Amino acid sequence: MKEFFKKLSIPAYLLPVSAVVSLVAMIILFASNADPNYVMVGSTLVVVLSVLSIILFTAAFFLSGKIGDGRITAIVLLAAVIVTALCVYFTFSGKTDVFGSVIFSALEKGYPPAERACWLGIASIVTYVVATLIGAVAGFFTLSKKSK
Amino acid sequence: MLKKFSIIFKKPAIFRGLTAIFAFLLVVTLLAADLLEANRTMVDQALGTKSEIIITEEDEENPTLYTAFTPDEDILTDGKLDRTKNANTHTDLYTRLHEEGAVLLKNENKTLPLTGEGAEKPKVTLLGGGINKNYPNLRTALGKVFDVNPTVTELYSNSGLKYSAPNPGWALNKTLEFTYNLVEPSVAELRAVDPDFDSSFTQYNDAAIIVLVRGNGEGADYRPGTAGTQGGVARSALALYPNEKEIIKLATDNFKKVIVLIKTISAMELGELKDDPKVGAVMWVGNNNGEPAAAGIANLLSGKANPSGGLADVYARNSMSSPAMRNFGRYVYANVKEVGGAPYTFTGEGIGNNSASWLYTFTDSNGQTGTRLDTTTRGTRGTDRGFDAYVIQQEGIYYGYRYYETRYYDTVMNQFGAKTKTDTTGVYEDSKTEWNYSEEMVWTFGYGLSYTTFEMNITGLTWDKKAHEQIAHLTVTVKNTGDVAGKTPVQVYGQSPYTQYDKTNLVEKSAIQLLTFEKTKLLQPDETQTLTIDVDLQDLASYDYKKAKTYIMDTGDYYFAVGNGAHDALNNILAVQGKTTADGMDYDGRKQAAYKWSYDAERAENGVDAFTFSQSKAGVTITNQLQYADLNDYDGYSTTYLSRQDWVGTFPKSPVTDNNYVTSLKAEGKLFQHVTGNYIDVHTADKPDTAANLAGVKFGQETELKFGHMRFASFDDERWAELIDAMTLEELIDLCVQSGRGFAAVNSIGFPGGSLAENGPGTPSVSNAPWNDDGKGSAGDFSGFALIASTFSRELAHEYGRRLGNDSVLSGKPMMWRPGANIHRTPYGGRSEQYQSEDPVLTGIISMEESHGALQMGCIVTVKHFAFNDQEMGRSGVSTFMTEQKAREIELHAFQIAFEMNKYDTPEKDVGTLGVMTAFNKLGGIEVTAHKGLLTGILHDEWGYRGYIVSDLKDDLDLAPQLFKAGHGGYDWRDAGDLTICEDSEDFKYDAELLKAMKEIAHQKLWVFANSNYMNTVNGSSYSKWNMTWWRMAYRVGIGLSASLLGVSAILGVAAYIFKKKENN
Repeated sequence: MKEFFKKLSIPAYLLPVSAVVSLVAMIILFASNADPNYVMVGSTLVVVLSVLSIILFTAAFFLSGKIGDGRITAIVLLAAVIVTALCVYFTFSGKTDVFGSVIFSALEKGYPPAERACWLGIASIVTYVVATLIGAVAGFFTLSKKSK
Repeated sequence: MLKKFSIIFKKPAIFRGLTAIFAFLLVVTLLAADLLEANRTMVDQALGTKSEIIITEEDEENPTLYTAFTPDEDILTDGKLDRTKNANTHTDLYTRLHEEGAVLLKNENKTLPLTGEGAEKPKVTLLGGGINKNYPNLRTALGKVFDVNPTVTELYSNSGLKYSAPNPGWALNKTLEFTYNLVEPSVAELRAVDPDFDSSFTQYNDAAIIVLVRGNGEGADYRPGTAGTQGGVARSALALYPNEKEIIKLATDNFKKVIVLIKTISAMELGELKDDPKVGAVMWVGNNNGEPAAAGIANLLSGKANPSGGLADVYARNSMSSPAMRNFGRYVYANVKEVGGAPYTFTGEGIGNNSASWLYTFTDSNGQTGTRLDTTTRGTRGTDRGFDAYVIQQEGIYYGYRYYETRYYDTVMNQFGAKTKTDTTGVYEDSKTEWNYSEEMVWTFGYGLSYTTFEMNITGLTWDKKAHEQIAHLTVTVKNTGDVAGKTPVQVYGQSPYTQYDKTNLVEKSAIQLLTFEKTKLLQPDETQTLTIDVDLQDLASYDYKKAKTYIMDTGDYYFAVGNGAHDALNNILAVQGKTTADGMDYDGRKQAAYKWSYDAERAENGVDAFTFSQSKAGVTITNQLQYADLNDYDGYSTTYLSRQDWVGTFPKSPVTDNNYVTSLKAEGKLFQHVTGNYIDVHTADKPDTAANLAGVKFGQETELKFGHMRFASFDDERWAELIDAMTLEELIDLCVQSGRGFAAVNSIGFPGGSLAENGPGTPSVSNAPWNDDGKGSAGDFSGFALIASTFSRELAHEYGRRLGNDSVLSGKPMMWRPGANIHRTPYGGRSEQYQSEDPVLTGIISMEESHGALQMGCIVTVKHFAFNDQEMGRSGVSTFMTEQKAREIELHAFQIAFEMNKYDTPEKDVGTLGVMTAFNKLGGIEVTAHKGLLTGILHDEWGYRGYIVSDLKDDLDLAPQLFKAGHGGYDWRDAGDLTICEDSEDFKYDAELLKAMKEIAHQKLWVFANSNYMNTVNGSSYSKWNMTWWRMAYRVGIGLSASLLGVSAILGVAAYIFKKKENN
C-alpha cells in the first residue's frame, strides 16, 4: 500500500477529492428531493451518473498509481469528467421547473419546501461543477511519479 | 517555436487537461442551448429578440397585405396611432367608469355633494392612512376640487407613520400578521408627531373624508377568525379595526359632515357606519388607485357627477352569517397522503378540526418552528398542495342576496322556520336567536343612491312565445323626481312560485332573482324615460336535477319587479301580495313597481312544464351532465343541502358542534378513483385502438392550402378538414398542447405561431406599452372588474371591451385572459377583484358586453375560470361539491350568458365568445379540465360553443389525453420552445377518438385565429422563419468552439502520448 501511494504525485489526490465532491453533490441532491412533492424528474439518472463519476474518478486514481499516467488512465479520467459534467446538465434540466416557480416568479417564493428544493438544487449543481473542474484541473498534471 | 512546441508535446497531460476542460465546456454550452431553446419565448421577451419571425409576402392570390382589423378612428391621426389620443380615451373611460360604478350607500342630510359657497371651494380634512397613504392619487384629485387641510396630509406624509391594509394576495406563506393585520396610525401616534394637529380642523371643517381599505388578490383568501389581526376586531379582517373606529370617531367628534369611502371588493362589515348618525355619507368606490379613478371619485364628491351605481354584492352585518361561510376554507381529505396531497399538518386556530385554519407548521434551517399561511400556488397536479382539499357547498343556491332576501320573505310569510336562528357559536357567534332582516343586512345587492330620486313603474307586459323560448317584453317608466340630472340602473327581478313539487324534488327557489337590467340615459329633473326590457324566461326557469332532470317552470303566479336593489324589488312584490309592515316588512313596497302574471304552459303536466326550457338555444336537449358534482352521487357518501322548506333542519352546521358535519372526508372507491385523476379511458401502447379506427385518422396529407387562405373562413368551411389533415402528428400535438403565451409554428400549413397571449388580466403593463403616451392609460392598468359590474351599464362594459380590443390590435396580442366570471360566493374570496359580482346575471351580461366589444376588434378574450373557482385556498384541485341545480343556475349561468351572446345573434350569424380559460379545481371529484359533461355536454353541445379552450397555466398537464377527449383545448403553455410533453407522441397515437378530438381542437383554434386580429399580418404566403438571434449565435459558436477545441486537444493528446511512448522506448 505504501508503495502505491509513493507512486502518486500530489495532483493525483485531486481525483479522490473529485470523487468525494461528487458524492457530496449527490447527497445534496438527495436533500433537495426530501419533500415528496419536489422530487426532481430524472433523479435516478443523475444518481447513476454520480455513482459512475465516483467510480471513474476513483478508478483513475488507482490506475494512475498502478499503471501510471498512460492512455487508459487518461481515458478513464476524461470519462469521469464527462460523466460529472452530465450530472450538471441533467440536474440543471431537472430543476428548471422549481427555479421558475421560486426565482423567476412569485408562485412558490417563500414556501420552504420549494425554496429548499430550489436552493439545494443549485448547491448540488455548483458542487457537481466543482467536482468536474477539480477533475479537469487534475488532468493537466502528471499523476504518477513513475510517469515523470 | 518548434522546440517549444515539442516541449509541450512531451507533456500529454496538458492536452489531457485541455480535453477535459473543453469537454466540460461543451456540456455546458449544450445545456445552455437546450435551456435557451426550451424557453425561447421568454428569452425573446427578456432580450427583445425574435427567435421566429413571420414572413408574409405578396403573391398573386393575395396581391396586397391586408389588415383584418384596424384601430378605431378616435385614436388615429392621419391614419396613424396617436398615442396621446389613445391615452386620453382610456383615461376618459376609466373616469366615467368610476363616476357610474361608485355606489352611494348613505347620504344623510345632503352630506354629499360637497359644494362651497359661491366660488369658494369646500375646505376638507382627509383623515386616516387609507387616503393619505394608500390612495395618494385621490388626495391629489380632491386637492383640485377642495381645499385640503395641509397640516394633516403633511403629518401623514412626512412623519414616517406607516399604513398597510389587510391584503391576502400572493401571501405565499407569509405570516398571518403580514396578510391580515391593518397598520393604521392611532390618534395617539398622530399626536406623538404633532400634538396639536387637530387644531387645524377648525379651518378645514366643511367635511372630513376617510377611506377604509381592504386589499384583494389572487393566491389567498380572507380568513375567518381574528388570528393575525389587532386585538379588538370582531370576527375577521373584514370588520372595522379599533384604529379605524378611532379615526372615524375623531371625525364625527370634530366635523359636521363625515364622509367614508369604502375601497375594497371584499364586502366589509359596515353596520356601524350605517347606524352612526354622525357619519353622513358612505360611498363604495371600487379598489383602483389610478388617477382616472381618483378623478371620477372627486367628480362625484364635488357634484360634477351624480352617482348611479348599484352594489354588486351584499354587505351583511356579520360577514360570517351566510350559510356559505359554514363551508369555506381548507378541508383536507382524511387520507390526504393516499390521494396525492401534501403530508402537512394543519394546526392552529381555526373554525374546526381539519378545516379553515389553513396554517401549517414548518421548521426552518435554524431549527425554529413556526406557522405559515398555506396558500396554493402551482397549477399542476400531483405536486400541488391544494390537491388534497374539498369543499361542500351545502348552501346550494342560498348565498348572497338569494339567502338574505329569501329568508326575509319567509319571515314575512311566517313560513319554514325562517325566523329561528340556531347554532351561532364560535366565529359565527351572534347573540340573537331570532332572525331579523334589518339586523342581518346593511346594504343589499343592487342598492345604490343618487343625488336625485327616481320613480320606477312597470306599465306593461307583452310576450313572444315559441316552442322552446318565451320572451317577456316589459315596459318600464322611470321618472327623475328630484332636482338634479341623473342616471339610474333599471334592475328587473323575478319571483317564481315555490310549490309542493319543488319541495318534494328539492328544486330550490330564491324568493327574488335578477333577470336583466338596463340603465337610463341622463334624465333631467321631471324627465321620464320609457324602456322596453326583454326578459328571457329561460333565466327564470329552475333546474330540476332529481326528477325532470332539466329546466322546469311550475305553473302558478309569477312576479316581475323593479326597484333599488333586490330588497326593494322584493318589497314591491310583497306589496302586490298584500303584505305590509304589519306583517314584518321593514318598509312598505310599491305595487306599481311589480307585476303579477301567471304561467300556465300548454305542455305542463301536473303543474310542471318540463318541456319548454328543456332545449338549449343550440337545439340540444338539456339533461343532467354533472354526475358526481354532488357528493350524494358517490356511493357511501351523503350530505344535506340547505332547503328553504326547512331553514332550521337543513342549515349547514358549524363544524365545531355538529357530529354529522363532514369535517373529515375520506376519499374511497369511486371518489378515490376520481380524485387521483382517472376519469376517461384512453387507448395506450399496451391496449391500442383497432387498426381500422386508427387508419381513419390521417396525417401529413398533401395540400396547397395554407392557414392564411382561411382568413375569416366560417367554422363549417370544408377546407378546414383538408388543412388539418396536412399536419403531422407531432405538429398536431404541439398545436393542441400549446395554447398560451408561446405557439410553435405549424410549418406544414403555414401557421406562423408566435407569442400571442397577454400576461395578466389585461393588456401588457404600462411600462412596455409603446402605444400609450407616457405610459398612461393602458387598459391593463384597470383591474376593477367589480366596478364595471356595479355600473349596471351594458354600454360602458361594451365600450371597455372595445378599448381592450384596440389595445389587442396595437400590441399584436390577439388573446387576453379575461374577463373573470366566477361568482363571489362569500366576502372572503381573495380573488374577488378579478371577478365581478355574486350574481350570475350581472356577471354574465357585463362579461358578454365586454367580450363582444373586444370581439369587434378581433380580440379573443377567454372568459375565466370555467368553472367554480370560488376560493383561492386549495384552489388547485380542490374537490368542489354542489348540486347540479346550483351549478347551472349560479356560476354556469354567468358563463352561459357570456358564451351564448344571444343578444347579438342574427339570422345570418350566431355570435359567441371565442375563448374560455378553465379553472384549477375539480367539480366533485373530477377535474374541470377533464370533465366531459361540463366541457362537451354543456359547453360545446348545449351552449353551442365553438372556440378556444385553455387551461390555467399547465393545469393537469399529466392528464392531457383525458383532457382532449373530454373536450378541452390545451394549456397556457409558457413557451413555444418547451416541447417536453410533445416529444413523446406515445401518449396520443393509439387512440382514434383522442386523435379525432385533437383534430377538432386544432380546427377550433385555427378558426378562432383566422377570425381574429392575428390575421392583420398573415396571408396565404405567411410562414414562420427561424431567426438567428445573437444568443443563438453565441451558443452555437460556443458549441462549435468547444467541440472543435475538444477534438483538437484530444487528437493532440493522443499524438502526444504516442510521441512520448516512442521517446521512452
